[in-house]
Amino acid sequence: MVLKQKVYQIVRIPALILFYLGIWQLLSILVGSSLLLPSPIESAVSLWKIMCDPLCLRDLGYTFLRLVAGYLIGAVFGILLAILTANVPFFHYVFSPFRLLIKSTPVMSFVLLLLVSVVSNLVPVLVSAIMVAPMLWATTEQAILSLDPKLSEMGRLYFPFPKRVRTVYLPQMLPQILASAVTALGFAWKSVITAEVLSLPRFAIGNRMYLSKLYLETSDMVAWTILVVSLSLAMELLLKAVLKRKEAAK
Amino acid sequence: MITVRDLTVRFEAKTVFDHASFDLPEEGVVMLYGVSGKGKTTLLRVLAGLLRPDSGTVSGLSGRTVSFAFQEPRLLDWRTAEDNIALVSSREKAISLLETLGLSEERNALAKTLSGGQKQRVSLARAFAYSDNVVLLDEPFTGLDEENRFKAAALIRSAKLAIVVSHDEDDAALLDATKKIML
Repeated sequence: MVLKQKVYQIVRIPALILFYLGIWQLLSILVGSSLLLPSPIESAVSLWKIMCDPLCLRDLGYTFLRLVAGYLIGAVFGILLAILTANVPFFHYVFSPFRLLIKSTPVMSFVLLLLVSVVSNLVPVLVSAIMVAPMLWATTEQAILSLDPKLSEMGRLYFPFPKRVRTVYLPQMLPQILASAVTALGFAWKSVITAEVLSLPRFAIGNRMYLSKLYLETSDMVAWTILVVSLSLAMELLLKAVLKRKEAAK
Repeated sequence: MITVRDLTVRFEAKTVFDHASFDLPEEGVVMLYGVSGKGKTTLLRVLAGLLRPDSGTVSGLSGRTVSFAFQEPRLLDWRTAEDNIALVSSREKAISLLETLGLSEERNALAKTLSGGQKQRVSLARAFAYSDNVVLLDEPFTGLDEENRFKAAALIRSAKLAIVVSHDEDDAALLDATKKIML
């Protein structure tokens, strides 16, 4: 029974991947045109070419830098705004509609608006920051408001402010904030790529995807997508692993 | 002498203290007793500086470190019993106080895994680890069995000044209270 479970654990994920690759292959045979739907093998070949091309890796690196910059800017702003709005009701009432507005505005609108006034290289950075900030803002604000008031009072008596934050507040807030940070990372990837496709900065995955579309190189487009999804998943898993380690440490 | 003058504390429509005045000794055990809702805990919070009164003054506490064992233990559930105490003082002091209160075996247990009575004793130990100069104790015997009540009482008597809130007037004898105030 235990052996059966172990075999199931090992085989489960590769079997699932093979299942979907099979469906993809079948669909591409049915469609019958690699222009409309390239086969998994064609896409794998394109992916290999991309991975071996230093210029492609350079573009990947630039996109990654934009993502990290946008994500960090968004996270810092989101958390600072949360501290402000959670503690000062006036700012909560003033800024809450603004947060709702950002959350419900399509990414496309931000890109087009920013393209008018900002250098195209910066548009993806700002767009991903704009996407990340409200998510972390809302979660952190909620985490601050959910702090146990009795523990906070105890903290006020026993700890100076910086130590209180470290020992009383953060351990209560971190699980919520980190979970939101993982979700925001996925959004950051999507928004950076979307913004790159629309703003076409130099050295960007989005730029490459746009060119693939322009020259009808569908397999390249799929390969870039696979690369982006893999990177996004890898980063999410990394963040989740950090979160798990923090929980285990507790 | 610690003096409380013209103390007024209101919570929305309810007035807990209306220009009340108290004199408290600088040393010994002071017991505050009486039925619920008369402001015993509120007075402790005012003395600890955790609650700003609507009016009135407290004098005689400046320069003295005040610690507080709350009615609910208010421990950091994700830390061990020892950590909860060591965070406000030193590890040596934490170990010694846990031993005094019969909690040596639980020192590495997470606070969330402790029983109500054990948590209460850890909270008491934390207050004494922080300071035994002025210790404010809100129902410190809640959930304690006879043996642990004696241990806790011995520790409380060792404070320079302990102000103890209790529903039970008999606790005054156990603590050798130097002053009793009924609220």
